[in-house]
Amino acid sequence: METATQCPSLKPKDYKSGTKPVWCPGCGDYSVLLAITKAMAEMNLAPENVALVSGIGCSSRLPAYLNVYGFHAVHGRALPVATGLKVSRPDLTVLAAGGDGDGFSIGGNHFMHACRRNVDMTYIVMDNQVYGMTKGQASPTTDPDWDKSKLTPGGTKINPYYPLVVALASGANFIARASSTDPNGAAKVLVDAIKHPGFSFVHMLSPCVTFRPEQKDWKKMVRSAPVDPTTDPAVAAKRLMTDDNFFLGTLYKGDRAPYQPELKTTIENISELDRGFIL
Amino acid sequence: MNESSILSKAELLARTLTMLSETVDRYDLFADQMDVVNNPEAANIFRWLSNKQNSRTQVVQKLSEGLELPHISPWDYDWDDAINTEVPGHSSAHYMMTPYHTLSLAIDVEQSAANLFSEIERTAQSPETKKLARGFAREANEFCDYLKVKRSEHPMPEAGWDEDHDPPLLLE
Repeated sequence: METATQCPSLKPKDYKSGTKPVWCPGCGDYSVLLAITKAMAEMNLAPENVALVSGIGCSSRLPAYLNVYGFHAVHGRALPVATGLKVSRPDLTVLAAGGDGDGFSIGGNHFMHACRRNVDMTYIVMDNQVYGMTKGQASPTTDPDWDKSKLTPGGTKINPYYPLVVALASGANFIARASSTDPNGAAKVLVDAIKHPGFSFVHMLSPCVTFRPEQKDWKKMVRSAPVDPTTDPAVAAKRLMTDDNFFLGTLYKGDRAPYQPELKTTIENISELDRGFIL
Repeated sequence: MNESSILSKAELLARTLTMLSETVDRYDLFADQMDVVNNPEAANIFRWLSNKQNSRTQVVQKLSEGLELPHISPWDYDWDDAINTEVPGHSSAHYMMTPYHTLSLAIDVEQSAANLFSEIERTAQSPETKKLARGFAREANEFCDYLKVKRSEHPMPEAGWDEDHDPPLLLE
């Protein structure tokens, strides 16, 4: 849902803060940053009406590099912070961002319930199947046989987490996958995600060239999903269960009404505030 | 960029400006990255490349004066982020890259641009578009030749140039 006011002729670089990113050269997150700025420019969003909330990790450094309101939250807690912001300021375009460890492990519970609540915001998870900031440990999306970390000799030997399936089962209203290897295609997906009412989840493949150098091959493996977005959860479920993790595009567009509580100008007491958090 | 869709001078100019602007941004980004990883030689070359492309952007902007250029959405550029396209791919930078690599990357970019403009010249219907595309192709080829001369001033890196015996990020 387009909520922010529009302003004319902003270029992608107008959304950058000027702070130099400290990601490794070749990191996919540079392209994601570019895709986000392109999406915002294409939608002519006024920077002062956009907020990006992140968790902790390499990709969660995003707010520092953007010229919109930003909040670098606690590990795994980008979604509750973003949820609180959106329900109290529905006029803002709210984006949440982070990595696979932050979003699916430490913040895994928040992910499910954010999908369920269906607050109108967009969650971008830059998935590189590794904890990069802490120097290369297996994450929830790591393949079971990845054995490069001493913490998991011989690999984790457990099935990876399937975030798109979990998102659908939990009630996300928009589910898509994009890739940092195609920042222009990713910008299109982000525009669609931001415009779609309710909770939009964008699974962003973003290679870690330092700890998972083999992921450089992702650019040869990704391809457009040969399907149109469906509004039928059953069709989407079948589609996502047979997905090989490299199909790009919008895979599901639901029609649930977003959750937006009625706003009161004042809160009488703390217990009233408490009740507002019970769903 | 999908050359078969180039119909008019305005469209060719719009796409060329978009391509140049992306290239300038990408070279600036690479220069910043090389600053961060303390590789000033590569950073300086990327800054020089950015300035060169910026000058070309200004020339194309001058050619566009008085014309209403069509808006092109990012997803309509129809290029991907792989190397050997008209815009250098994000993953083409390496923290230990040498001036030789830096200039090689730029040569690939110019060669791709020259090929693209030649193809546009071949397929465009309008004589005006053909002429413009021919000029752009010639410029890209000339710059490519110049970059090759500059690259010859630097030694070709030996195999294993990217082996770092004291890597900044060790897998734990």
